[in-house]
Amino acid sequence: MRNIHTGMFMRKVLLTCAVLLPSYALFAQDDLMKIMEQQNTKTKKEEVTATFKSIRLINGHDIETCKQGELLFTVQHRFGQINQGSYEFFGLDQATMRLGFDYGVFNWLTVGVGRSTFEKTYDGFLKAKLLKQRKGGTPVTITGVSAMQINTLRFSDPDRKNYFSSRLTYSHQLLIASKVSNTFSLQLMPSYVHRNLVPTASEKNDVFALGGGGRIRLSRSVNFTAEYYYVFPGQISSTYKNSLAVGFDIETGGHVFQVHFTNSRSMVEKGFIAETTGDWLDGGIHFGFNLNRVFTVYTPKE
Amino acid sequence: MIASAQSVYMTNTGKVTFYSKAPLEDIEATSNKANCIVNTSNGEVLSIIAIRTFKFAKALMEEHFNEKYLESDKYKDATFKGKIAEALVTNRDTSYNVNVTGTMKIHGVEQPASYTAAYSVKGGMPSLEGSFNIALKDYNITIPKLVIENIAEVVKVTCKFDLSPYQKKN
Repeated sequence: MRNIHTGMFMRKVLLTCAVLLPSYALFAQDDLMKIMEQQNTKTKKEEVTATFKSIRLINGHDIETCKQGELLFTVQHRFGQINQGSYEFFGLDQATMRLGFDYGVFNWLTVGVGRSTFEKTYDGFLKAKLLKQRKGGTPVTITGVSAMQINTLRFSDPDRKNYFSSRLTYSHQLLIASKVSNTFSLQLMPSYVHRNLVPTASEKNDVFALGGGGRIRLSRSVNFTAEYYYVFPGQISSTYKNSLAVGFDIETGGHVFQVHFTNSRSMVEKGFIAETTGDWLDGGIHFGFNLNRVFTVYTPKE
Repeated sequence: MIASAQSVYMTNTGKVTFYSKAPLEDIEATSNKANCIVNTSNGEVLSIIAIRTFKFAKALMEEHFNEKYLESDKYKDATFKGKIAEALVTNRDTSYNVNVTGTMKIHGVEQPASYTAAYSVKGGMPSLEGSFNIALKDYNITIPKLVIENIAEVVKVTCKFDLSPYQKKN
């Protein structure tokens, strides 16, 4: 009996030593590494950043928002259709433009205003990041955008009773994107456009569409982008086409320069989603660019 | 043997700043989350900084720093492993210069490195402070011609680590 007890006691001592020894062993560099790892308790899974290079994919928005305190000044141009030939210098003689200011109220909330020469349109939007993609966690980023556009062209028939409300259009989009890898991001855009007034009774006031787009990295500073909006049938006049745009994002220090080809002339949602007139197969393509310049108004304290 | 445990000092709130002075603009970024651990009995030093913890005044610069230059998705940390040549006193207030020799790893590239640092002790708490230059090309960090006027080829790094005794977490 006694021997068995002693044996068990010895075993306990040995076990205790075995447990205690590592923590009192001589420190070597690897041990310093181990200590550091122990001390640094796991933090929240890292947010995925830079899914896209600008807050607009081409014509439409992408999931990116302005950082808090950042002001984004955007100059957008769309030239005439390429198929107009050399007399119009392949469309370059005619240009429409949009000037825009977007501001990051918080990292997740951006407000923007703009003015387009096309249909003398004022627009404003609110854009909120609702869900963030995280490494090894949430697979997508989701951002919502609600925009309003005001057409300020003179009423075509001033003699009849005209209402201000007929100038207004609205759009709401849910943007769902995933940065699949450093070189590839993908985005889906379920979209809804409401027009208070439409030209004919056969056109719907509400237009539903589904957009898709993406970015492929070609080099450190150049990305290829594409964007397509599919309008579900039976909502708009058959003269209108689905919007397709392809382009390149070129980054410099504080600018993102986006050059592209698109069959849409308008740079606001109700225009390019529901009223795109160009036909790619017919050369109804507009050359265009967005010039984005970021200004840091203030740097938020951490 | 317990004494050897008390010769380990560390911090995870070390401050590391770098300056880039170029013709068009000066860029500065700071991390207040640098890790440093020192064994004062044999002079071993290890410092690890998560690249993402560097904060810039301009958010876009921070994005470019991570995305285009340091590629922090691929190369998460900057690491320095080394040894301090001089004996490190901890039992009284003091301050003197020490020589640190070791290996710096940034952007996945390891380079031998040796620096002079100021070592001091106040109330039993040691601290290390130093500054040195880093040539970006040594670590395969290339600057596009387009922004060559904006980013310096050699950046100045300053570090400050206020260390406290290591206590084992349970």
